[in-house]
Amino acid sequence: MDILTIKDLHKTYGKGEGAVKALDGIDLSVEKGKFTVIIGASGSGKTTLLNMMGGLDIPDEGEVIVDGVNLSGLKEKELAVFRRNKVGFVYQSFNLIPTLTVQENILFPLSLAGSAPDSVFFQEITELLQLKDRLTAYPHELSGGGQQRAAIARALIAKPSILLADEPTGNLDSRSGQNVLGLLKMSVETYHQTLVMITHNLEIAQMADRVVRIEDGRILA
Amino acid sequence: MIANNNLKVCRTLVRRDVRFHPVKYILLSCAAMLVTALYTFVFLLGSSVENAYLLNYQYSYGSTSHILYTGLTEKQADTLTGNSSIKSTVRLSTIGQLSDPVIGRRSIKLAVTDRAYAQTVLSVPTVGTLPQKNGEIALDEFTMDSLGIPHEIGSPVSIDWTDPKGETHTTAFTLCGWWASPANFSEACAWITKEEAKKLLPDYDEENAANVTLGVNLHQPKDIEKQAEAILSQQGVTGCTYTTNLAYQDARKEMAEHQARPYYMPAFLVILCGYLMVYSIVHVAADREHLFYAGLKSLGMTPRQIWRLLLEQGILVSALGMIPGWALGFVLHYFITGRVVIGMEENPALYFLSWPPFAAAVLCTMATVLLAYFLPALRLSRRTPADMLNSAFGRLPKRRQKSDGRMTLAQLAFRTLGKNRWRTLLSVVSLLLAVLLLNSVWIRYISAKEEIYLSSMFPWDYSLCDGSAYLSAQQYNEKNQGITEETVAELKKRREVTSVSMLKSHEIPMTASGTLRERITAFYNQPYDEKQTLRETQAAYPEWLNGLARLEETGEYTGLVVGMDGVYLDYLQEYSPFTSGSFDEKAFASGEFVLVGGAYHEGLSSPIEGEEIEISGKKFTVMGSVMHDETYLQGAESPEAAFNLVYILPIEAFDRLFPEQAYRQLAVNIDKGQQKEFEVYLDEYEQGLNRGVGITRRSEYQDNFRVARLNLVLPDLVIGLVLTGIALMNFINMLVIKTVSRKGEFAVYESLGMTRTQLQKLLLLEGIFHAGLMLMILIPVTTIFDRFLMPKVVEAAGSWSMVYTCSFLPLWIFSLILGILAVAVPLLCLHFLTKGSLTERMRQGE
Repeated sequence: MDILTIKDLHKTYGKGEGAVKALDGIDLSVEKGKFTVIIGASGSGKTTLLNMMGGLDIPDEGEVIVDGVNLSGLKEKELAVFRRNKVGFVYQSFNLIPTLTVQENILFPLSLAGSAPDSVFFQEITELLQLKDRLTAYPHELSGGGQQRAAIARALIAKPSILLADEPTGNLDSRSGQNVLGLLKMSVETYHQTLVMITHNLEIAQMADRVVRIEDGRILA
Repeated sequence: MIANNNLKVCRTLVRRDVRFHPVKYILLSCAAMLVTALYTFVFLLGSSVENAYLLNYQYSYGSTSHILYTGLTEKQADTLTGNSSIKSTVRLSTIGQLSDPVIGRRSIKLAVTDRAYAQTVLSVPTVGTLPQKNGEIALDEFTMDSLGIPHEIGSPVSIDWTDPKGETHTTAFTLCGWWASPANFSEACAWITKEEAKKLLPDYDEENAANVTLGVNLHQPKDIEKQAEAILSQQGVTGCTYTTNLAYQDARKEMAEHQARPYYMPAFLVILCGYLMVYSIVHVAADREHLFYAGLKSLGMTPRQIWRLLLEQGILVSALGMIPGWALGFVLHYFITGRVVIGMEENPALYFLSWPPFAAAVLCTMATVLLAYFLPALRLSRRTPADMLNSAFGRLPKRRQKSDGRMTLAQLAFRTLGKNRWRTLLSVVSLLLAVLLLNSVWIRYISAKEEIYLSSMFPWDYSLCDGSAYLSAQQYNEKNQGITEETVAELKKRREVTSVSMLKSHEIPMTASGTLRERITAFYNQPYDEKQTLRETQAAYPEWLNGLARLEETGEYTGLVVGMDGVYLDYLQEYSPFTSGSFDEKAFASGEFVLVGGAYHEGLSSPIEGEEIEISGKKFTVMGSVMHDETYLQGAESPEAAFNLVYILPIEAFDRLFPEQAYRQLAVNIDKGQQKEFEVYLDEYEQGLNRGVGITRRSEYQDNFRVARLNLVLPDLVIGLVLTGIALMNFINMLVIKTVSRKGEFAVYESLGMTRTQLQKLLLLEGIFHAGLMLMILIPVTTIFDRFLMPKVVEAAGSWSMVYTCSFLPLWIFSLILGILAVAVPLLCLHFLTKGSLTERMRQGE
């Protein structure tokens, strides 16, 4: 069963001679519970594609359907609620909120929705991601790996339909990167999550259920 | 190790910095411009006030010459003129002194016309001309009014004058011109031609006639007392006297400096607000450029080079703001100084314009700007690159709050209060200073009570007095007929007029009974304090002492009979406490009773209640005696009446005793709604007069009071408003920076599912919290300041017309503005921040 379906997706940035075609007719579907990796050179359009999947950007043409929701017709507020409930993001630069503690950062998507956290689930993921002792720390008090583990916890806390990760190990040293990746994969497997990840790292790509190669805004394989 | 400090590189970096950060330099230049403008304005205002005081001393002195040598012969005058330290001279030849007793305490010289000298004593006719023919005379208006001379060219003038030998003459002249001058209150000249002088006193210009006054202007008007002495000894001239111009005396200069000092004081506020303004910009820039400076330091830039870099930036900023700052400061000076320095025909802003205030302003600006650069420079030069890099990511609150980890928007908003604490503190401090200064200005302004001032200084709306009684130095000329019955009748008929009160006076010789003599003698011989008796307190007034001695020896004294009605009687009852008896309106109106005015001191110093007094053959019963406050009487009495007892009668009773006596003064009250019409009538009346009538308007006192009240606070108000502008800019700046710097953060919020409405609500709450934080500090501090400090400030002002009045109006206005800004600015910023896609914004945020 496909959790994500993309049809003939187009996106161009800029106008006239300076226009850059980021996506040029992408068709893609992602199966539920699978780990998909998107690889490609810099500027190939992989981040744009990921952003389209998460409703962070709006395509010029085409459709993005996530867990039965067609993003094309959504208004801004509906998109925000969609992101809150259906998608979990893990960024290369962590994007933790510096004024909040680790625990507050993790629970932030639930706070936005005004929903009560599942304390058992919270205990589980913080334990799984080795954050239990650092819950009251501020992000800058954590190592890069620690910050990324907190970002993963935050992405998982709302039990989203799909987890989108944009080079989550790009800002980490290889050891931390391995650790974070291992934990991410374990979390996905534990909670049967669908993960779409962008990476340059071919070793990581080998760990994926499916690898999608993108070049000049088009899917090659 | 020797550091290779290549300082030239700093200049290159400054140039590049300007090129790449033009907005920062525009802002800094604007700040420097404002600071220069304020300094320029404050210094120009202070120097104008100081020079105005000096000019006032010059007016008091009566001449623009630095030294006046008197009692010289022509030869001596020639000898003195040859001294090398003298720049220029003017001469006056006098043939005598006006000796008519009605001239009063003023000294009027009968002198040979000399236009150059006349100009130095501001005595050139403004109507008519200086005498050109024999028999012509030109006079100042006060002398004319004292002598009762009509204001018409060709009017006959009879002058009593005394020559240097003491012989008295009476000479008839024809009026050829007159002038009004601010320098002729106590001294003036009556100009006649040389030929006329020769005719009146043939030997006036003889070789040995010591009647020349030489006005001297020096090359260097410093230590003029010493120079005056030196000129006499160097030229070997003896037997003359000299006076030096008050305006050039060191003591007077010091006094002028002292009096103008409050106008220079706002310069300290300019230092403060200038520092805050420049510092807030430099601080933000330095904070934002930590990475850049960290890079420079890691490349080997020494602390000295960093200092030099920031120093050059400071100098450049000051230089950029200099000329526009001067221009703006001059504009402020042009429009404000004219309101502070009043009573000049010329615009004081231009009259007293000089270059030193401009030079001082630019030096002070440079010092202020460099001071503002000092702290960031110190911080940057002392920190290691790693430390700077760490600080570039900001600090967060150390305290960890116990919570279940869930966040409400209010909690999230509350967290941002802790960000940029230094900037928040700067904003609080500048807002606090601005509110306190404006509150202080406002309280001082409203504490100055117009009604108290007016009721004491000018209890009625208009006063018309005989021209001989306009100045306190003038002796009221009882023979004058300046105010006529027609004038009174016309005034009473005017529909604007609600009352016309009349006052007449007449001096008569009287003889005291033995009881009265004893009573008065005992009264003045009583001790005033431990050191002196009441009589001894009057030691400076020989004519008064002679009058008292005459009474003690012979019982003879001068009685000043005053007839009055209306508001004059009201004034008397209010300000002259009874020492015996009381006022009975009906009995007083009967004309059988008299009120007696004695000394303004507790005790009996005059006939008392129940005693009988004979005035011009009619007997009156004393209704009561009062401590006579004579300030309502305009002009002065004759020297014989320096010591007097005042007998107050109803005007009708006075007229029966002295039917020929004209009015000394009138008090007119009007319907305030018709003030314009009445003043038009008065102007026409004044212009149509050919005789001296002094008109004083309550509105003039009112205007003077309002100008004085505004002057009291004007320099602080200008500074306060600028400081307010700076404080509000700081506040806005803080809100803008706190919002704009979180562009990426907001994008992350949205990416995590925050709706736009939630984001707006978050910023609204942040704004409210910021405003609340400011008010939590502003309100209690201002309340304490207003309630406890301001009463003492008002009291220290030492003005009897000031009554401390508490008001928080500026604080409430501030609160309202802060509230509006706190809500509107972040939301407005958000409007611009949320343009573009989330991904673009997140990328920019990084």
